[in-house]
Amino acid sequence: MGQCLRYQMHWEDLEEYQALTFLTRNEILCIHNTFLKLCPAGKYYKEATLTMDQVSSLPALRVNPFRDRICKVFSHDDVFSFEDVLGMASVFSEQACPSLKIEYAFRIYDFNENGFIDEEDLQRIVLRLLNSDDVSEDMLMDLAHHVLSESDLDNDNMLSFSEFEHAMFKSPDFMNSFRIHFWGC
Amino acid sequence: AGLPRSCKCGSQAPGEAEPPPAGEELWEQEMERLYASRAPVRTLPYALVDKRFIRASAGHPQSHVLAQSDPSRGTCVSLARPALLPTGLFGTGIQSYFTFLRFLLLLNVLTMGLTASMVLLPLAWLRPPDPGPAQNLTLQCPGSHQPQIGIPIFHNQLWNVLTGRAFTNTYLFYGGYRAAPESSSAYSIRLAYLLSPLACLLLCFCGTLRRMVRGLPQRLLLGQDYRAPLSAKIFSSWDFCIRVQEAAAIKKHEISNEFKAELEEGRRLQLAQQRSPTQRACHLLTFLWVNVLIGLLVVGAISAIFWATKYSQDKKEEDLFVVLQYLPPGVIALVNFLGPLLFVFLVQLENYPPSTEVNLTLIWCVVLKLASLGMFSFSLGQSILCIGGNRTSCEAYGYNACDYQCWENAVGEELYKLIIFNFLLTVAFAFLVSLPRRLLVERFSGWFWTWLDREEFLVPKNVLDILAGQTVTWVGLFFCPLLPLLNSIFLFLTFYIKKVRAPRYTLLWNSRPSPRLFRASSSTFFFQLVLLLGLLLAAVPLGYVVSSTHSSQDCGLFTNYSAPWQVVPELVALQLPLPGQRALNYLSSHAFSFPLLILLSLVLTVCVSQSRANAKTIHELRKQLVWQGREKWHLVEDLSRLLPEPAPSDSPGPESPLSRASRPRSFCPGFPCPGSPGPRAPRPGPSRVVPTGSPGCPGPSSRFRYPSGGAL
Repeated sequence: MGQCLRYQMHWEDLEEYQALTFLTRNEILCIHNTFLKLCPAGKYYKEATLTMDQVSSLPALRVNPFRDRICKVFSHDDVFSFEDVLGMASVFSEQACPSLKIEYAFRIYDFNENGFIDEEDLQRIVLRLLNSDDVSEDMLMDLAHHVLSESDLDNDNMLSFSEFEHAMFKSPDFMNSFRIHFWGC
Repeated sequence: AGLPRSCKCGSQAPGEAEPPPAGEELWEQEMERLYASRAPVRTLPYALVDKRFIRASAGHPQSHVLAQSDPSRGTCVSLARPALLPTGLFGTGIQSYFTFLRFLLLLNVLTMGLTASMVLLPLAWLRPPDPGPAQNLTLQCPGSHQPQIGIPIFHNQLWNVLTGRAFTNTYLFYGGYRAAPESSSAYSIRLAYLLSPLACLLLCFCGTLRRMVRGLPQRLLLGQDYRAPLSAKIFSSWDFCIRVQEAAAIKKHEISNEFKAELEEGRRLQLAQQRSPTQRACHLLTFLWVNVLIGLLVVGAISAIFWATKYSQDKKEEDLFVVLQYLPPGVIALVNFLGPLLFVFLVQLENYPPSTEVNLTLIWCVVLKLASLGMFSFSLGQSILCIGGNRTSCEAYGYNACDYQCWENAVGEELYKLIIFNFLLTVAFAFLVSLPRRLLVERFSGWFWTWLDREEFLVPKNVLDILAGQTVTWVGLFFCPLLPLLNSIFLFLTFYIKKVRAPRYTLLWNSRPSPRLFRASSSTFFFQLVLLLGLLLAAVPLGYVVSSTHSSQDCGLFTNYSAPWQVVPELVALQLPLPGQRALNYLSSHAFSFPLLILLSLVLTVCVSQSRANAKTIHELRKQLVWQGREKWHLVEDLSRLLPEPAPSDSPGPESPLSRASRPRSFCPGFPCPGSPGPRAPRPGPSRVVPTGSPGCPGPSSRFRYPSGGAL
């Protein structure tokens, strides 16, 4: 029971989306269904937009500590079009390139959006990852310093994209953890 | 041509906008880079509208893009999705167990395919003659033993199946194979039977090695610590697949423990480095005494296995004590169950860092498992082939002909029993222990029941079990050629049993999340290493049996040969032309192996010196990076002094670490980001943003650009 106008996706659109993203046919149709359930009544799905809150409360993102950053990075003007949602799903899909995932992971983790991951970003990341009552100020600073001493190669107290990429290529767990495959079907 | 801005600004609609002239250069450069790289459109880190535009624009070859419609054929490395894996709710540790299981299943199926195609199919095709009547063995047997004629079977049909007696004359065991004497033109079943275990072992060795090398943690090559870098952990520890609130809470707890453990390790390491020599000697002594104690326990355990096997072999024909048939597998299972518990207890007596505890326990468990299998084989060898023991009963025929009419069958039966017992134990444990425990805990609450509910999915224990099973399969390839088929079936069933039971484990972690976490990536490497060790361990008895033992006189393919390997020289003389024979003679002589050895040493030396040169280069490059970073910040400061002051509403770009100011706003809503990977393009540096009309779209014309990398 959708609220949007229930047009079936055209075959050419489906083909185009398959060529432009890493999603399979079934995944695209699944996301289409989910989108139709959420978008406002009476609009064509290509013109409808979802708010950031609606996307944040999708089951795939509901308990994710970085959901606000994910929504910020993938949305445009604070709203999600259908193609924005597809783009997001494509980056998180299992078949996506490592380089694409690393690129977007960098944007997600860059909380203050200055193009670098600095100490403040690192502390915010750690805070999100742990239970809030579990963390002391010292631990945050310690961890941030540890990370920078390991990965900051040019000693400017920040992680640039290439340093981040370098660190992620050394970590085989990254690809396994940075993916979402269930979008509501 | 202009590029659509991905931000939906009021004044600009996608597809129609033209960027202001000053920024057009950048877009053109970016577009050129994209066309030149010929990357598939889907790999580009831009919004869908931009990708559509790039795809449609003139420079990008249409056919190239259309050819990429199959997601699995992208040029970037994408992970092949494993078909049977349980997904979503579990951590990566459990997934690595299932990946490993799937890998072993594949190896077993391939082994079985090889054996079937080389031995079974030709055998069914050629239909060899029936065996003649059993030969009369003239020998003196000590005591009241008479040489056995025929294999006694048990009255109970189930026992026959469980001990393998029901299959004695089938293709399951060595004794069921027979062949005509060798001729110069027929397909030699004997050669096929001899070479198929060796070929299977070689195949498994190459497969495991290739997989190991592919997953090799790169940090080993960079000369840093073996531990996973904390940076990688922080960025990759959250599993984005988690959808359930409880699982998220558990994961947060887990991550918190892991970070605390990491910091603790770092502190310990620092303390350790500051110790004086006497303190270090003390520490070493405490380390040694625990290991010596555990070593003694292991020695005791394997001697128990030795005596159990001997006892069982001595009493194997007695009908009444049918349970004795399963005594060796029972003792092995008991030892491998109690051993790890004792090891964990002993290792925890000393205050080691958690990672050392885990490593030590794991290594000793592996040693115990492999040693128990090795001792089992040796003990069998002593009973049957008189290795290292009393040789009188073996003098006549080279094996203990009094007790064993067809000794290869006896060995095959023992291995068969071992595999069946392991599988039955897994099933029994899953259904008779874990299932009632889970049901009871769900029904009742209270201190006792939560204590009982401590069970975790111990990945290392389960992995070691299937590794041991695989080692036994490899040892039994010569004696029981269909053992890989049996093992495949058991692995398949184990997969489903564990998959059904595994989901509960993550949700039961509320009381006591373990501080000892299973680091999937480095441990996969470790387990593949153990698999290789098991393979080498299995190759030793196989090699010995094939080259130096006398086969049974009465059964099997090698009845008239002094050792199974003697088929090869005979066939070489019969079937190969003379030049071929000479070539083979040369290859197996010393004149070939010494030059080969020298050549291999040369290659090794070249590799080692190359890797050393690489390490030095990396060191130099790191230093260069630091210098360049410093230069960059000096330039930023110089330029900020030279340029006109920005308006008060603007914020400066990222400042150097030497001077802290206010934070800059976002300046990259879409395309391209400063972090865009672009090896050939001048890397657009962080820039200052001066806002133009609409707040959501900083105009590219007002961007301040760094001088390109070449100018620096």
